[in-house]
Amino acid sequence: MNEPSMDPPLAAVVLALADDEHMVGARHTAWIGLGPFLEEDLAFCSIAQDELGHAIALYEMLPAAQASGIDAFGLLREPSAYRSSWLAEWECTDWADSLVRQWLYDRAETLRWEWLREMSSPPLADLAARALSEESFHLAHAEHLLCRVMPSTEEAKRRLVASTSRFLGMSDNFWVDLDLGLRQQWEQLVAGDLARWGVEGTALLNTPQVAPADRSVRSPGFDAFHAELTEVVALDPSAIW
Amino acid sequence: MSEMRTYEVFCKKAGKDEFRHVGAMQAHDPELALMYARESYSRRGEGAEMWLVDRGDLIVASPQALAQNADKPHRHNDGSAVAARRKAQRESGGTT
Repeated sequence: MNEPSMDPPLAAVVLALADDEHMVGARHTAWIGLGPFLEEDLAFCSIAQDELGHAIALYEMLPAAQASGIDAFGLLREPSAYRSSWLAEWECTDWADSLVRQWLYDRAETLRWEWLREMSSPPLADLAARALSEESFHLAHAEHLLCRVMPSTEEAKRRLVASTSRFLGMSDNFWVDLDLGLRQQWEQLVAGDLARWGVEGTALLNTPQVAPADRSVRSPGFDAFHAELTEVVALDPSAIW
Repeated sequence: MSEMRTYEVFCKKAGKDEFRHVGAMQAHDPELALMYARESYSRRGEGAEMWLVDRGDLIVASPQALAQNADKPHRHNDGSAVAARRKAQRESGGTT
């Protein structure tokens, strides 16, 4: 299972994806018990669990994480050592934001897993193939909900477009240094989704950027989020779980 | 979105097992119902096949119609009458 070493550029891709999966999975779990109805609650938390599972599987392949232990690596690094994106870290206190983030994130995540499946060798390529089988359901979840809700009322469209605009303002931060030729594909897919849902995407995709094009800079609210994630571990760092 | 509808969920394991009722759930339309049924009832491979039935499409028998069938003891043979006769014969020393 373990790769003895990893090409540094590939390790950077894997680390960014792993940290993104960790953060977005943890943020999604904030909706446990709060989803708009029981079935959606279950479906959304299932996505969250899938993403956290991907994070663990990716961390296990990183030499740096193997050296310090998965839990310590995932939870106890200095904030500047994380390579997650603002899109993944952002606290969504509104369900609309959370749904839009899930859609935009999983569109990008799927492209990155496809890239890993094609460009890497086993076991990473195998993990990518397994993850993609889950991602197809994540994308279907976003599509099934947004194709219904986005065109339903003027207010729904206004709120979802505002969410979309906010997160597209974090695109530079998301794709910096890790474009892999995928950003253009992602933007085309996002524009295609929006068009299908009755929204003109060109202006949205040109929205001013609000996040630094640097994944070593944490998003506002990260410290509190990180403190929450590590609250139990910090009770007794020497405890064996 | 539209009003939620209730769907009855049936799952069947691979092989010769029959479809079994596993529960019910709500969704807005058949497409969403399939998505949510998968997450609610088959996340851990509980079934190889799944049926969803809109509860409104079920043909439901009235309890009164079924209750009448419970009032025909002469149609039931659970063996208790024969067992009682054999027990009585044993205790009186007779043969069966």
